[in-house]
Amino acid sequence: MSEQLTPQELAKKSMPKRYENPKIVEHLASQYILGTLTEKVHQGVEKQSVYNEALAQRIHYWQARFVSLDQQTTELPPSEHVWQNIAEQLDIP
Amino acid sequence: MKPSFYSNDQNHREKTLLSQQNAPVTDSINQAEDKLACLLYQCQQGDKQAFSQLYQQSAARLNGIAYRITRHVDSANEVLQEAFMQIWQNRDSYQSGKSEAFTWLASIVRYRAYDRVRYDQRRHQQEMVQFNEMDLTLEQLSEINRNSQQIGLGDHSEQALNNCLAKLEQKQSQSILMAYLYGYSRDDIAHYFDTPINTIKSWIRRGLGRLQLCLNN
Repeated sequence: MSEQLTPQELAKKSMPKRYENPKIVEHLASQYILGTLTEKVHQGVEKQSVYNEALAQRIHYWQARFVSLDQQTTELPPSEHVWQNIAEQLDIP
Repeated sequence: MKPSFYSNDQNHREKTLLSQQNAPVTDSINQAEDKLACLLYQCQQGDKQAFSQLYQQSAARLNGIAYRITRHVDSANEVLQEAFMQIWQNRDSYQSGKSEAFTWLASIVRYRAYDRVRYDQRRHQQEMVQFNEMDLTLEQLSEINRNSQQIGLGDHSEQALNNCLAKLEQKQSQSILMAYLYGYSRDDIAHYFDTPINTIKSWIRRGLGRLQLCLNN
């Protein structure tokens, strides 16, 4: 009888081997946060990071290092219609 | 002459508007962070009023990031709207122990904005419009230089990043900042430096490697 696997275990089983190599994980995580991966690889990394703890951890590491650039960015208040559209779509009074 | 990003009146007005505002000071960042984390927790309980407050607390900062990347007020607003829909839909995936609230929110906006810039670029290419995305404005260059050379200002993490960026070869730090700050793809950076894409890949890879060594020390 075949073993019953949880969705997480299934995802881990189908995870490409390269996601287990620490050097490749570092490369993918750092380039993921720079936005320099191709669209397909970026989406792949996003999907894998849900189940791959090491990958998720390295993404958090790099994001936390670079976020100061976002904190220094000048604010720009959005147009009022942005919130109106969001509130309408989510049925917020 | 290649057109600059601020070559028309509308963009000039946007630039003037931006220059009238100050970036948030570091002291207020920590307080704002606690508030955002608290609001995100309430959102996870399904509290839509908390979501409304989350928007009020963070929209101008996040829109600034979207504008930095898209360089267009309308595109920034559209990116912000999409990002907030995504924030609500994915609110359960935020884990307070792993990531700071602002970092999580800003990442969602950044990736949306990068997608937007590349989508617009493809569309412009298809329409064969004369449009040069590869020009860095003087303002962007000075921002990149400021980030890669600034030493001794800001809080600890900001200082650490700036110090370590300053230790890289200039082309490495420039490529990294062009990607992060303005959403340049590796192709865009290769075009800007008039250098093969494999060289750019190597600059970025080596730059990130050295950056990591420096940040860990």
